[in-house]
Amino acid sequence: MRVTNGFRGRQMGYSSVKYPCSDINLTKRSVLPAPRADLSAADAGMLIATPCECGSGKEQQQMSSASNFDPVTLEILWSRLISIADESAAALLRTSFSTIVRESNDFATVLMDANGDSLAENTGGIASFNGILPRTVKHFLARFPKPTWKAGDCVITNDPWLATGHLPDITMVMPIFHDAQLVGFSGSIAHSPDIGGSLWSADCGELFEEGLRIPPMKYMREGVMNEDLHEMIVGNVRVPDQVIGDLHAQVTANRVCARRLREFLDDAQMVDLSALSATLLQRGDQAMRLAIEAVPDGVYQAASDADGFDEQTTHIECAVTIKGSEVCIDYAGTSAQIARGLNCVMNYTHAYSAYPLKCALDPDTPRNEGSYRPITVLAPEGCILNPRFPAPCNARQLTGHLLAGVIYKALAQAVPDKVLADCGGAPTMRAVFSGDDGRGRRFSQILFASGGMGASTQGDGLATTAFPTNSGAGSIEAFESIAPLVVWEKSLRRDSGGAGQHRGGLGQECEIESRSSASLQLSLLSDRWLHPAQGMLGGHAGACTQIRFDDGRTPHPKSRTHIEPGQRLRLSYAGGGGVGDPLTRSRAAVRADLLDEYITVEQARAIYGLNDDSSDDSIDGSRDGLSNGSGNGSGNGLNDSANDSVDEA
Amino acid sequence: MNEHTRGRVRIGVDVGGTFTDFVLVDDGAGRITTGKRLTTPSDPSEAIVAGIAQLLSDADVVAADVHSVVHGTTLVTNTVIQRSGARVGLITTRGFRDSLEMGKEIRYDLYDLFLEPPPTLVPRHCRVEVSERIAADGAVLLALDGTQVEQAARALVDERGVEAIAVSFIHSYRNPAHEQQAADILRATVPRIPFTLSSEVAPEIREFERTSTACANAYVQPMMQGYLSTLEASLRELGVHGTLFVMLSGGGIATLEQARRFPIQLIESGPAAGAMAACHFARLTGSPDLISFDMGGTTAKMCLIEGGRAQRTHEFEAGRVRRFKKGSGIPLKVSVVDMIEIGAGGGSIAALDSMGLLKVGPRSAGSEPGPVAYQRGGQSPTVTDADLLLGCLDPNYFLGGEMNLATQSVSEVVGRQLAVPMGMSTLEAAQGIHSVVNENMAAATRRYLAEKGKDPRRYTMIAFGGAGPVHAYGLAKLLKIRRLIVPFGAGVTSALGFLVAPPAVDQVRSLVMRLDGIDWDTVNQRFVIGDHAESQWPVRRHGGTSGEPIDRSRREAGRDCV
Repeated sequence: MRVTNGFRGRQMGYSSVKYPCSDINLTKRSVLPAPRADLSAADAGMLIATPCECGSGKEQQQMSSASNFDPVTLEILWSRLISIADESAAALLRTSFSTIVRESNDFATVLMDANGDSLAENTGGIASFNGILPRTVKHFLARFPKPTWKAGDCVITNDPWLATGHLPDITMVMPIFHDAQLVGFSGSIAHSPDIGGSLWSADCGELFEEGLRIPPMKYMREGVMNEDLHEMIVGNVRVPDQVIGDLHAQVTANRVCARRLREFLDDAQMVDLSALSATLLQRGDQAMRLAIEAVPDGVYQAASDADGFDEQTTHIECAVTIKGSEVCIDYAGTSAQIARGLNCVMNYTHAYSAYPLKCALDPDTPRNEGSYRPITVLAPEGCILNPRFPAPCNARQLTGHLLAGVIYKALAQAVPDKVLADCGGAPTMRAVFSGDDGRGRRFSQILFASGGMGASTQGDGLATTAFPTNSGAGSIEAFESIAPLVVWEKSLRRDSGGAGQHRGGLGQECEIESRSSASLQLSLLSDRWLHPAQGMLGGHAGACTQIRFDDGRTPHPKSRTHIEPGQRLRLSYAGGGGVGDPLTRSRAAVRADLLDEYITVEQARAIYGLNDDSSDDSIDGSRDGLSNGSGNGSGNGLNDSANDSVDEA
Repeated sequence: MNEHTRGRVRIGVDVGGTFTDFVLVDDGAGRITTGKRLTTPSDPSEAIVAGIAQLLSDADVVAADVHSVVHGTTLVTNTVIQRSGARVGLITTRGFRDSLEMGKEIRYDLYDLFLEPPPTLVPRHCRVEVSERIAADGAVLLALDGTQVEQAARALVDERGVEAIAVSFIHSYRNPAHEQQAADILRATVPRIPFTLSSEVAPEIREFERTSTACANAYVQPMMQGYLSTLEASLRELGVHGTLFVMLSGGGIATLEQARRFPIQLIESGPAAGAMAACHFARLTGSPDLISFDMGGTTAKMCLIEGGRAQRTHEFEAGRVRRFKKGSGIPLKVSVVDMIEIGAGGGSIAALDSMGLLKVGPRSAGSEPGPVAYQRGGQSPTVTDADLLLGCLDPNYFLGGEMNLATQSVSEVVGRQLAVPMGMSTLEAAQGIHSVVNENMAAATRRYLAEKGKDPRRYTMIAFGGAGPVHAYGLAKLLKIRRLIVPFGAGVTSALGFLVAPPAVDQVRSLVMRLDGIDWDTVNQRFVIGDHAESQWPVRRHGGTSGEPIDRSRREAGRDCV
């Protein structure tokens, strides 16, 4: 076809002259031709150069002088290491089999030095995973001393105490050799689509019910798969193809990381990472210390309560001690561990304590092991934040996600401008539906949705966005396509954001109907029914969680139950806490919230003290012609769903 | 000018953020003429018309000889970025008016506690729900209540003053009947208000992205219709009576009709042109597998070309609140050339961070105030400034001598702001800026290729754009690329892309099925749609950009699992 070929060289008069320029070295100040206004056919052509006969590079000579990195070199090397971790993550994403990795991004990759200290993490990886992996490697090194590691080895574990706190997360680590010397480790963690046991639930009595536990073992020895272990895993999971596919993806990611690091060392003409690692960790450490020094010294205490399980309320005590350039977080006084899956192992406690500190104090520096050196986290053994084996811990997020809130509550006494009020989406709320899809196939669908974020002194909290986790939400159309469920509503929950000068983020309302012909299983993982996200500096709490069936029945917040054909379940997600006295909120902001129906007239008057004349249109956005269009109270008025009143807890 | 020239002249115009580039191809004489001038942001057609007049005079041809003008524009992108579009109303399924605002419920920056939420083009008080519901299999669960649509439309127009309407119902990609009914009601109720149906602009699964695309289309439609009419009229005034075409984001050429109906498809038309030009050079040089590297004033774009063709993707993000942060913008289901764009251009600003490390970009000095060298008030050292100090740019021949560069003040600024604090010489600091920006681009390219499972060493690099050739050598070296091609006229290569791209329209449809139970007949039926629809491909009636009738056309079917 003539047109798709575009114009051709001959037709265009391109002479296609090639100028052999084998070496244009920019440092020699060569002048390249500037664009010219009139480029005629006669002298049109192309410049073809051969930039790379690989390996040599004069401008890189400075990098071989190990211990003294200038600001340019260090920036370049650091960014290169991060790009190695990112490339490793891309490999994992590309080769994984499960939707939980591909859609929910539930994984991380880390490049570590020969001591197992993290140097670079993939951009956008799960923060808790990134922080925990180096701790796991230290356990591996205790079990398998350094001299015993061989090229091609791959060590695996999902032990909650050694790794990320519950069985579904699988950690895999490989050594990186360069010129026969151990120079580092590549590691990855991914949430496995299944690990056997009780599915995702909070109500198991001990760890052994929750699935298969893999102690640190060699999944590969010098590049050869450990068939016995492989068979053991295959024999214990519901979807072995996906599980094994993801394990291979992790191995691939680790290999990509190793290969790129070797190339990096060659390019930079370095023998190993030791000098660079020391410099990078020192920079990370220094940045964190500077940030901590900016906080006034003192002991800042706070406590927080959550629903826990039945009568066993979770109480968290937290003392944040700032002393010079160091910070210590001590959870002494926190509830004891319980015989339900809410226990949060020390690794997870540490990760979810360090992450909020990094966000609040030093958000901009790329993170590495050095960032954590000035941070100490203590929790008494046997408490819910440092449970003893074999405590159940499958739903440890229901406890771990609370830590950011209590740490911020403590820090608010010193640096209120750097923190958030409590988040409605901490902990996350999940509803897991499973059963027969009506066509004889088994389905399992998790409804991902979030409550509102806490406000700050800088502004309102984000609606329906989780913190400290960041798991997001999927499409309802996609959700309905693979499950016999219809979602009738997924909308912002009016009045649910904690009132304040800065309003907490709104939670949401979801209404789901089962259209299956059989009863479906329903597992709920929820909190904040009785303990709302607290406000800060005079701001109010957000609305509490509610879950109820259309017959008015409320299921157990952390139970495995059923939903019957035709039955509807309504989930109301908690709102974030507000900041500052609501009476000081800008009147324009209150009116805008009213116009957009983020709040009701009742809340505007009673809590925000808006006393505009009620005949004024500006106060009563919800009562104008638009919202009332065809409203007749029978359920088909415009936007009537938003007019449903929301119970303020 | 001679007889052969008549009707044989084609012009490509690329309106960029900083410069508007021109290429005139005289097929009769076998000549190319190029030009470049500063973009006129308030009314881009000003620079276009002035530039074309200049170009005609430079090339010694008259306006009547112009057979066609193909152009790409950043106007759609800028309207979204500057939030200067129409006031839009959204009519949607009861229970779902907040999909647009809730989005994916993620934080696009893991460490920023105070991040600004991605933009919502239609505020909540302009979003109205109506009773209707279609199931995932296309069955009607609840019939559309037409009265509610009528009332919603009236209320939106009369009480909210909307200038355009978007309609997006759940599962409309599967069964568009309710949206089509709503369209009939809108035509009857508010005949003067343009509207967009989600099932027409983006018939794909995922309600947030589809709704977002429909709203964005409605948002830019009134403005684009006005702009295209003005441009058409101005060109007529100039005596140019050839056909005006536009380039779509996917690299195809389309008529104004198509552009007026789905202006959102123009969102990436400029960058697409660069990729099309690169494809042309791939064919011309017999190097079918290329990495195209297009570095301009604000950004650098890398695009993988295999077998002489650029890949397309069907996801794009516009109007990011943080320009280079994925997830901070408005997702669009629009066919775009699959490329990566990062904040590394001639105008990228170099500064020391809190740890004393040298950072370059993504902040850019743009064209106003621009690099220090431009002497237009810029006080921050940029990549262009570094390149000038390194001798890569000729201070007396920038823009073909139209702009003089101020080497002395550049040297002072780089020295004071960077070299002294870093304890380096000014030249070393300049080399540092050059190296850091190269490394940033190399990292982005590696990641982009890794996501596709490709190894950069297998490819040839082609470099263009104002700053491309200067940085290509260093970038290619970092990526271990062995062969580099720099076309002459590299500074205006994108504009050439308009003249080498085929007339083409992309259509995408969703079909949800289990992979182990696919009904291939149903799948294949989906590919028949394009045939009967002359109206969906008006470019056929006009012929190609060089005037020959399109006697052959080709349909390419592709399938993707999402």
